[in-house]
Amino acid sequence: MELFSEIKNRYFQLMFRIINECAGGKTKNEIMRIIDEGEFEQKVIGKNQKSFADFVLNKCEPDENFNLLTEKNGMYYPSIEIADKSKGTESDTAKHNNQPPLPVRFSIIEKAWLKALLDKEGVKMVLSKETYDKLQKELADIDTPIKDEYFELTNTIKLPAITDQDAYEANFRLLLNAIIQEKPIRYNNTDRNGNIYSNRLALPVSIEYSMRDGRFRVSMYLLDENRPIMANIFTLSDIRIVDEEGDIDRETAKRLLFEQKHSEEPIVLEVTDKKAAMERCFMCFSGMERTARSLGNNKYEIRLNYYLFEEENLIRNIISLGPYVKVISPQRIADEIIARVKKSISLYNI
Amino acid sequence: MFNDFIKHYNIIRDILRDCFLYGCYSRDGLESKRNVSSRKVSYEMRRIQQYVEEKYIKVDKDGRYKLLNLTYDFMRHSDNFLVSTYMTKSFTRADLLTYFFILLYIQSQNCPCCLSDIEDGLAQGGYLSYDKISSKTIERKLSEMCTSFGMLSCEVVKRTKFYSIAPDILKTLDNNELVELLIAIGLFKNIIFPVVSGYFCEQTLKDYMHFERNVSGIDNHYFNYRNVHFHPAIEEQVLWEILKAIHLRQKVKLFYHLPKKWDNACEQHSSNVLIPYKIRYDVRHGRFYLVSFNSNKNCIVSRLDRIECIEILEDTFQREDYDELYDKQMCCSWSSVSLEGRNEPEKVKLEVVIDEKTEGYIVEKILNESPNGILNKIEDGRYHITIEVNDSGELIPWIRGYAGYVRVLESKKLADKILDDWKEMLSSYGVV
Repeated sequence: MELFSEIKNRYFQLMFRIINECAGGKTKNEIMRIIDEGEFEQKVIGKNQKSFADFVLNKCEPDENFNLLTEKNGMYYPSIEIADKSKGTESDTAKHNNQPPLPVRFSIIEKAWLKALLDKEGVKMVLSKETYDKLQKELADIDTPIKDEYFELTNTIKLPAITDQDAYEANFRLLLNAIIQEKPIRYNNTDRNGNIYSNRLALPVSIEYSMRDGRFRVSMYLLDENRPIMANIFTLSDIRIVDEEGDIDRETAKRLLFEQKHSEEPIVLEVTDKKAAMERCFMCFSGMERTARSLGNNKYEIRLNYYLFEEENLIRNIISLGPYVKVISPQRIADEIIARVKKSISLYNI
Repeated sequence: MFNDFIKHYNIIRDILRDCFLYGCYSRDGLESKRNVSSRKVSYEMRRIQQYVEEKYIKVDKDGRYKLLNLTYDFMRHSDNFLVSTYMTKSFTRADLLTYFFILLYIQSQNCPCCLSDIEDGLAQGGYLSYDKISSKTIERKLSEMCTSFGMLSCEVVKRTKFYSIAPDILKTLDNNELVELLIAIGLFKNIIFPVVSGYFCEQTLKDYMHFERNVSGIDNHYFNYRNVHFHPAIEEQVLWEILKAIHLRQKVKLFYHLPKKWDNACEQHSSNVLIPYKIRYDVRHGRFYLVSFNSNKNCIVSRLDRIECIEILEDTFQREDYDELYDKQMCCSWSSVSLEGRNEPEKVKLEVVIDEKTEGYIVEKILNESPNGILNKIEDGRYHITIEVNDSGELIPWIRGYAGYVRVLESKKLADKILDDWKEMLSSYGVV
């Protein structure tokens, strides 16, 4: 199967949804609403100047209509309905009659991906053993081309192995549950300098995965101190979900994280497009909100909006891009870069 | 039947990449940079605007020019919006009608159906007429739905093919177990390549829960990601074809798309016959490479964004024959440079100077980031790290990132290059 396939076309998917939604009958307006929500903001128009809705609702010439739906007393139904003639027992018939008009099945490529999912380290932290075993059994015959042995990740960070894997996995599950239930937790933590923090109260906001080091961390809102924090999952201990009411829910905690940690002033870079500097630059900063424009003369300006906790990484990334990327503002960051470069040169003069 | 869709993903691939990665080109700017016609640029930009959710498109003005910029914030957006560009393949009226009528009919019958059952059933109901859609077309679609899409399964009884709905692999899972699976897919859809198929999986599962189990509105946005780029999705059509070839042990021919500045005709350049061995993914930049071997067992590394398409050949190979060769060629590569043409890897020696009390983590970080680095403590605050690498040029950006802490001891050539870069940087800031 191709990855780029018409059955995954947005309008194919929309047609699929409309037919199944119409199992119990839908009015024209209800169908129009489904189409409005599902189609492109700029609607597609057929070669006969008719809209997708016209085709679906059979409003074109007779031989142009889809006729996948049929109208009865102002309601639209799938034109072929489930025949009430199951050959099995009564329960088979009832089951058959409860089926949607169109079955939902994973495509070949999706099954290949699911099979790869089961091989992934960490998946058992999310799936229970029963679920995992059932899926493994159902997908046993799938021959997937998505295998770890065909890939090698480079420019990664190899962190020391986690010593107590069981405790780490238990922590992961507990934190995920707390996030799903939107409940705060109490926990103890030990930081890298050996400082111990006991019985802290925090609302877990999300679990963060870093592709460079393959680690999961937890983003939380520390209710004791009203500030967002990021913690290593394996350094937490004695975590328990608690019923204590906080003033902050998960959405508010997220908003506060974005607001408190987002820099008010963007970093403005001037990039000279030599030695693929621009491509490297854009690739490095692809996950940051930005705007860019040409300054002429093979020079470009990029404005990066960034989170304050990313500043050190950002400075290192900018320096790593070399002489063709220069910070225009803020001056504070340009000065920091100049200071580091001067220090680097001084190392060669000893 | 709608002009808004495209037959091949390649039609938008380059422009999408330039728009998404750069965002600084106006229609005319892109025309001169990439040397494609301004009509095509403007046409495809309009398509991309249609395909991608509006909230990800920033439109800026640069004088009289309009700048399109696709941008996201890794903290706020954990769904890869480029996946929607894969939901745009064109289809004909016959494609749509045969697909849905066949599925509707077989599902309605609840028993295996042969071609004539389906044809007669659809003709009797007046859904499809023979003069518009031929028997051959229906047969072709049935075969596609079995072998290519996987929606149907087929059993041959006395030389007649009987089609039924493909088995439901989720039937043994209860609703809570489906929610678990949805959460697992929600996490890994951005991690397992090709991510596009992970997103498709997620949508199918949501549809399954809604239509087959009457379960809706389950959220699975509990994760966010760092160092997960969205732009590599643009290369996943090519990636998928390569993975199939690697898996089937079939040789390939690559067709490169080179910018016009290197090729006046802008034609596709085909490679010789290659043995596709492994995909390397540079996590830092979000770039895929294919490592392959030619008939002389020379190592060829190709960027996927430069591959227009691949041809999978009938000719096969034994993967094991290349295991050792790959290790030798790539074990000391930091990203994509093979050992090809060199006898052995280069030795790079760095001196790391830190404040022992407060900056010990710097040494730790450097070591964690250098796959085969060997650490030697000279004295408090001074360490030597020795690294073997195919090409020391690959290390330069990384070494620069540790400005102020690292001095290159070996090789002299690398030390000079880095020192020159530092001086050039200072001069660019107007510091002499």
